[in-house]
Amino acid sequence: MTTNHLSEKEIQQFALDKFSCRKEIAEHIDLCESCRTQAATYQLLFGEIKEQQKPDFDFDVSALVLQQLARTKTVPLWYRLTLYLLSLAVIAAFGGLIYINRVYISYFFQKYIVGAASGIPVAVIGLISAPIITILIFQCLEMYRRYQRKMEVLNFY
Amino acid sequence: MGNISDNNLTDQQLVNKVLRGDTNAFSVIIKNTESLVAQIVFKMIENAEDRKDIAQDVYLKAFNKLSGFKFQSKLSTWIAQISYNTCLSYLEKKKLVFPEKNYPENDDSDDALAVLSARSGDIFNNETEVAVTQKSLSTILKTATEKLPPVYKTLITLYHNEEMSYEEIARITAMPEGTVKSYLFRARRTLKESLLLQYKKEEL
Repeated sequence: MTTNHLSEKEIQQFALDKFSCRKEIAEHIDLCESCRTQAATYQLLFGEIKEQQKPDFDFDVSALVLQQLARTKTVPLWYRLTLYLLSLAVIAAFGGLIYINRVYISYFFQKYIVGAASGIPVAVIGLISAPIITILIFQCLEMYRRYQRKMEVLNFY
Repeated sequence: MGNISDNNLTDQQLVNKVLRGDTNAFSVIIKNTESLVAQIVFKMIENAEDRKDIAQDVYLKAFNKLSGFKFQSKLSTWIAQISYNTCLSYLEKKKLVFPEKNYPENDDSDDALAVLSARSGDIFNNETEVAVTQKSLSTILKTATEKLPPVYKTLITLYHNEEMSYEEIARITAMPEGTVKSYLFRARRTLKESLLLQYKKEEL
């Protein structure tokens, strides 16, 4: 038998299942009032946790979810197709505008953007853009890692 | 409403029915798992309005991902996992995963233990006191449990109320089994200390 008092872990083990814990633990509990009281406290606690009333949603989950599913289903196919076509038309129109006005856009870019930047030393541009690009890369990597982690947790079945 | 025979179907049969477009079968899945989902959501989320949104979100996610369920666990475990992750995302957004709480210190526990020990003796002597003590114990435990971090509360509930194994809890929470055991050990110790401290206060 162990003469030292049992550790908290051993007392918990005994309180959880006194038949499957080590023989020395059970022997010590038999003879040591302090450890016995601690084990009894845990047993009282575990019994009380089991007795606690189970929570219940105060609304009909099934009705709420099925209603939501029905709403999602009622979006007709023609509606979704029209939305896709409209989106494509807007993208095509925007692309067309850029293509038609490419000469003016190129002139504007050369004059105002490249022109404005030409006054700034290359070293300064480098000093400004390097940290920005680095931060952006790290943010993208972090975003990708988080996304992977979440997908891994949800999709491993 | 799902018909009565649907209640006796296996997970696989229910899932197949839902995938074939039978929403009543999904209603049966909800009924079968609602209690477990409620246990997790109530322990993790304090706000009642948010609980409603989260419960709905859990089942919509389950419905949309059902075709990817590979039956490597019970359907209820899988839905519990979705519930836990949905709650965790909510808490992460609100930065509430492990709120800092002041847990009772060990210092007074020996005195309190003596008080509790004396009280345990009384329990067997007086029936009226049994009822009073039980009621107060229940209230103390409820208060102490509410002070625990959401993850600890959930682990205690899954282990002691739902009688799940460490392996199942590890699967739901995506934590290593050792971490689950260690968190449960700490949560139980914290609850015991709160209980002893409260008894000591009452005695004074």
